[in-house]
This record gives sequence, C-alpha cells and structure tokens, in this order.
Amino acid sequence: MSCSCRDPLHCIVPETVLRNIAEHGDERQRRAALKTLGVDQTLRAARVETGARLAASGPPRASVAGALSPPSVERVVRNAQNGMDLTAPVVRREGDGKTGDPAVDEAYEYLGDTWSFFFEVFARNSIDQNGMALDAVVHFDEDFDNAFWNGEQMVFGDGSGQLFTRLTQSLTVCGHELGHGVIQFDGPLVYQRQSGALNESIADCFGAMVAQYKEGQTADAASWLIGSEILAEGVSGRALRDMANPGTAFDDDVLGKDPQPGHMDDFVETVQDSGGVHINSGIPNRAFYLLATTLGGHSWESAGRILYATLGHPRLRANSSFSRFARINLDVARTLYGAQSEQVDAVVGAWTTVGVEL
Amino acid sequence: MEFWRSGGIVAGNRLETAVDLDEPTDGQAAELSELLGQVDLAALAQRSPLRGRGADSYQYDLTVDDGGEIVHVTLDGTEVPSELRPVIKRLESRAIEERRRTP
Repeated sequence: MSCSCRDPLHCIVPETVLRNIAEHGDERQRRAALKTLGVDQTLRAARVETGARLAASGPPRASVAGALSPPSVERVVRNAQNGMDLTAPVVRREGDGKTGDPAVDEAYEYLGDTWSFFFEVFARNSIDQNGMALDAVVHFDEDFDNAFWNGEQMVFGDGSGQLFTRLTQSLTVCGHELGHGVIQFDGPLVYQRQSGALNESIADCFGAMVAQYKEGQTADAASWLIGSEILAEGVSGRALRDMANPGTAFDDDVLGKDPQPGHMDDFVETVQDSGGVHINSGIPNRAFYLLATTLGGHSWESAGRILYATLGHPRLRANSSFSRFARINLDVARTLYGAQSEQVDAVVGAWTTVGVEL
Repeated sequence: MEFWRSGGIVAGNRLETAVDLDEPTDGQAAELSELLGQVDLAALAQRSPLRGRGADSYQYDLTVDDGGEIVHVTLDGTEVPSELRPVIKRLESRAIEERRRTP
C-alpha cells in the first residue's frame, strides 16, 4: 500500500495492515500502530508479553484477565502548596488542560510518558497491571531536595535551589519513582541491603528506558544519567547517578563525591540509607548498561525484556541478592532467546564484569 | 542529642548534627529541649526502626541522652509523627547551616 503522507500511519489504514506493521515494522512504525490499534493491539501485545513471561517463569502473578482489560491511563496531580499534606486538593485530572504551573504540568506529562512506556513496551496497564490511578503530589514541603514513592503516590519537592531545582523537571526521576510502584507489585524487593539496591537499580533502569523510549534513542546514544535536569547552578556534577560510570555523577563541596561503586570489590557495607540502597545500586546499574550496550539497538527491546521478566519471576525472592538476581536473569535470557544466544553471552558478560557471581 | 539524615533519591545527601540540650549558649538548645518534651521518644524507640512502605524517602536516626539513658530511634521520613516533625525540621535546618559554614 502506498501513502503520500509523511507519517505512513496518518492515512486511513486497514486494521489488518496495522497489525502487520505492529508485528513487523520498525520501532517508530510499531509504536504508531500500537496507538492506532488501541484495545485490539493491547490484547495482542498482552498475549505476547504474557506468553514471554510464562515461557520464562511460569504463570504470571497478576491475573491475565487484568492484563487484558482495556487500557485507561488515569492521572491526578495534587498541589501540596509547600505543606506536607499528601491528601491535598487535585489541581489537574486526566484530560484536563495545562494549568500553567510547571511542576503540575511536568508531573502530568511525565506520568503519561511513563504509563505509555509500560503499556506500549510491556503491555502493562499502570503500576498494578489493572489501571491504577497515577497519583502525584507536587510542591511538597519547603526547599525539599527530594522525590519519593510512598507506596501509593509519587511525591515531588521543589528543591532548595542550593542542591536541586524542581524535581518534576526530570523524566528519569518520574520514571524511577513510578518504577518503584511497579516493583512493589511485581517483586517485591525488600528495601534493605542488596535486595533494596536491586529495587533502586531496577527503578533507575525503568527511568532510563522511559526517557530513551520517548526520544527513540539507542542504548549507545543515550546518556544513562538519572536526574541530570535538576542539579542547581553551582553544584559540581552532571546528574544524581551515572549508570554507565557509577561514582562519577558528582563531586561537590556540599553533596560530597558520588559514592556509588561499579564493582562488587567496592561494595559498601553501611547501615545508613537502608543499608546503602542508593549506593550499591551502582553495581546492577552498570550491569544493565553493559547488557543494553553490548546487545545494541534500543535498551527496552532485549535488555529491558530480560529485566522485566526477571522482576516478575517466581524465583525472585523479596530478599534476593545480586547473585540470585543475576542467575534468574541468565535463566530468563536462556528461555527467551536460547542457550547459545548472544543475549545469554551478554548477560554473563555484564554480571561477570561487575564482579557478581552467577 | 545526635541527628543523622540519610537516604533520599540520591546517595550522599547526608546531614548530621549534634546538640547539647543543656548548653545555655546554644540558642536552639532550649527550644529543641522543649519540643522534645512533647514527644514520647521511649515509645518510638520501642517500635524502632519504623520503616515506610515506599522508596527514596529520607531515613532519620536520632540518639538522645535522656539523663544517662540513651534512646535511639530510626525512622523513615513517611513515618515521622506530627509531634516529632518540628524537631526534625529544626535539626535539618541546623545541619544544613553547619554544612554551609564548613569549608
């Protein structure tokens, strides 16, 4: 079929052709076809993804019926007005136009980007696989240099202007926080020590993939930086974290030097930070970066699929160590791609390079 | 009293400070002492560590020498009771100011 439109999917295209494009097209065409097909394609993608997880790990934990229900993103953004009330009034609901408040509008947009990533790539309808509303609170507290996930909501501060600026500016941060919600439902991974560092790392992987997906970036073209948009002027650094080169994101008089290791030889034993969850996450972060760049192409296609299936694997325990996670990673790669595949070699290489025993 | 804040979305954004609550020349000591008097630290210590459900919130560690009895509390930022919140805010501000002044 020929089409004079610049966007080949803007023309009236039969459903059968859309399905064929969704299955065999390049990434841009596939994404456009997915959106156009809507519910029908969601069902097909959900069956493919469910099949992949079944092949890799056995029956999924969430109900298949839930995964196949019609998708419906629902966003609510609340303005805490620099207080600490997480039940603050909603200022923007799903479908509402821009408010003019940058924090509100950024949170709304990036929640949508993150939802779209999980839906289009993994056929996942929201955090709980069942259309859970995405609830964000902005303008939390005063001079709050942080963002967090509280088990139900994503909460963003405005920053002090000394360390960080408005944290809603960062898509990787938003994807990271919403990623914690996905991990909560699919893991869980206890937020302590190595399992907590895995929790942190997987959230970073999701944040990085969401941003790369929005831009259509390949793994080797991406920055692999988390939160590069929010460092205040005068802070000596590039980002909150560098997944490719842990320990190099910042070296600042106030923040100190980025403490992340990139190898098990430098693993940090500490009781602070819930046992160093934001510190030792550098090790699995680097492993994922190595896996994605070794395989090439887009990070979500093979590396992301292996990661996602590992997260949903029934052998992944709440207190899993790096080694256990890596072994499941390897089993998933074998199941999805074959024992002699480049994906299996890349998984072995990535974890070996960072010193994690398989 | 010794105070540490760790955690948050980035490693390294740590705060710490110490206050001699009996020090008359410390302008904040009296206020902090009064605010602490409204908190049942012993009860909190029995439940410590108070962990939250989510991720990336701050972790606070508070150690108070209460007339020779040492009380230690570890709690997630989402689990700070309302009566302890003014204490935490003042300690954070104090620690940030000290960090700024440290060469």
